[in-house]
Amino acid sequence: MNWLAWRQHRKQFLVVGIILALFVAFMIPTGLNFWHTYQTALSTCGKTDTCDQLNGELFQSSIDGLLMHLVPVAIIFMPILLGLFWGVPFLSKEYVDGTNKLVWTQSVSRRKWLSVKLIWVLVGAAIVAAGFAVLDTWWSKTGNALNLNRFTFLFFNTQGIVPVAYAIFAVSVGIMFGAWFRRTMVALGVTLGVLIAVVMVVVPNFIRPYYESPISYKSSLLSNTRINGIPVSNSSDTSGATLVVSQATVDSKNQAINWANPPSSCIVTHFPNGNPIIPSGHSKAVEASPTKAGGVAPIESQNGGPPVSLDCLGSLGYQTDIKYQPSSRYWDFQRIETALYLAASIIPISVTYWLVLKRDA
Amino acid sequence: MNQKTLEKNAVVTNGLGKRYRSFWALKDCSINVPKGSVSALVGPNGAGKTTLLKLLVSLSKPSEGSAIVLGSSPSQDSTYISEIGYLAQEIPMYSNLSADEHIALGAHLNPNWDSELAKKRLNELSIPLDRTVSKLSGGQRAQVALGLALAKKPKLLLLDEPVAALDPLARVDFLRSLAQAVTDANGELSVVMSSHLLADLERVCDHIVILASGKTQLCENIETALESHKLLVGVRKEVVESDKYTIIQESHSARQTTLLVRLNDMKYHDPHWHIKDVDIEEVVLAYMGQTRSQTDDLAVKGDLK
Repeated sequence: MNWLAWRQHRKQFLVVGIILALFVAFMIPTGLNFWHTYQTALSTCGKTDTCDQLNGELFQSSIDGLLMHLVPVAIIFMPILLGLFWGVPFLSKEYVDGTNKLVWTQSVSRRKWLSVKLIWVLVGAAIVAAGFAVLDTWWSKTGNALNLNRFTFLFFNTQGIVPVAYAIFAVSVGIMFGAWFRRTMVALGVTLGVLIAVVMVVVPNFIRPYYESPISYKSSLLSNTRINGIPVSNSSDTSGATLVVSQATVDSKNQAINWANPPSSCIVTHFPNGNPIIPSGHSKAVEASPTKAGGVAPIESQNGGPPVSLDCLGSLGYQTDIKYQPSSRYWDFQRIETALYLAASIIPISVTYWLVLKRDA
Repeated sequence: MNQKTLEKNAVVTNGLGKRYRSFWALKDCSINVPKGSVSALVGPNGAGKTTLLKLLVSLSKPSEGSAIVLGSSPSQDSTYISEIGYLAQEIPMYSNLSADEHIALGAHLNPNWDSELAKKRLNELSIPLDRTVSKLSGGQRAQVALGLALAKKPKLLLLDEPVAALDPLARVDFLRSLAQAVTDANGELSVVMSSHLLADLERVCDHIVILASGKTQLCENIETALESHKLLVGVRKEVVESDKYTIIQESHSARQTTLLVRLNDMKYHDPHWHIKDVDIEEVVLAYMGQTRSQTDDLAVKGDLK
């Protein structure tokens, strides 16, 4: 059975192997170059005391800065492509060509036939994904050091160990739909839809932020702690690679502000210079205007409510409450998500066994 | 099913039926296929021939009834499948593999595989072993598939319309190969072959199973069938029922009545009838025509509404 599995799938292993080799050929030199550029900059910035600015400036204006985003964009689709091109035809092609009837009438049970083939394709997918993940994690060390937030969707999904679990899940889902519909095109469409929805929309937005209960960080609304209305972080915890779960303005009792009906004493109608304020409508707007003291008086209006002075809210005890996952939890989250996907893969694999063993040829 | 029946027959089915949603593809199928026989499975399209063969090789599961094949009921166990050779109607093969690689595939998947036999047979037919099967002709593909089924050294060979898509020459070649394989097996091989090409079947088969309307119409040794079925020709009369025979098909012209009957009394004789022998084609057509005329009647009634 191993002979057949290898003979059937060696071409697709070869094709993906070549693609991985091309990525290696491209990413090793660029990765080394990034790191070299970064190290050089580090060694010189100390003299001019500009190391703080490296984050924002190094690579920012060059093609390299674009590459640091483009390459992960390509790699993020790798598990989905494996699901489509390895997973879907894995059984649907056998059904379409009728070769399942040939191979199921040799002296090997369907269970063994499926098990051996599954091991080959799933281990193959895991190896390929691990190759891409290791390569991209190494390649991204410059970006990570420069504080391209590796907790954000694009980088989290392409680094660490999760790509391996995505690949196994994606291939399993493709195999299941291939066996279910027995028609390649239909199975391709459904698999694509399901994988995009799960891997790229539902999990990163609605499930991942809650693997552990987020930490709350409160910052004052007073303008002397803010630059242009954005809180100046004085905690190293919220800087770096963090996953922001939610951000709200709350009062001293932790109740979120009702922007449509804010504390009336803080509603402002005129800028300090006497010009009337035209509310900017329902979208969030932060408007800064010069104060008599020469500072900035941020004004905010949300949900169609009236403009409110943030300094006034701050003096009433309102604070910005940021709920976030700190960078120290990055590997916890990688492990949790990997376990989640591996466990979820049991569903499509079980359904596939059921479809192959219980349904008529 | 008693023990003796099971020992004598390669296939015994009892009330076997298969339903797809509300549609019965096969119903109430009870047949015996004697060991060492070459059985023709005949019937019109949709009679359930393919369904029956798939049930026997456990590619599908029966909705009712039972089957005993070579002493055990169909299952996906490798020991069960290892004794059966099966050739599906569309002759499926891996289009990117060569005949040689298919033989290697069989060698990896079957315990009693005979690669040498398969290669020798295909060499004799001058079929290129190293070319992918998608580049072979229909006749060559069928021969490769037959070679693969035989290399498994099965005790029962199930062939689903193997010659349907072949030209007359390839058809003759195929049947000759099959007949040779049966001779070589020395009574150890039983064959069930479905087809609606009656002349072909007569050439190689010694047993016949007629399926029509999803039911078994006849399951008999061909010689016995030819002896027991007669054509009665006589002056026209409307009432011709008798307990001496069962009417399979009757036709009336202005002057005479012709009956194709199955004799219940082999010594039946009646001076009113001129009794003629029949060939197997007439028997098969009579059984198939019987069900055809029933469905035609229904169709006509349907049209009148």
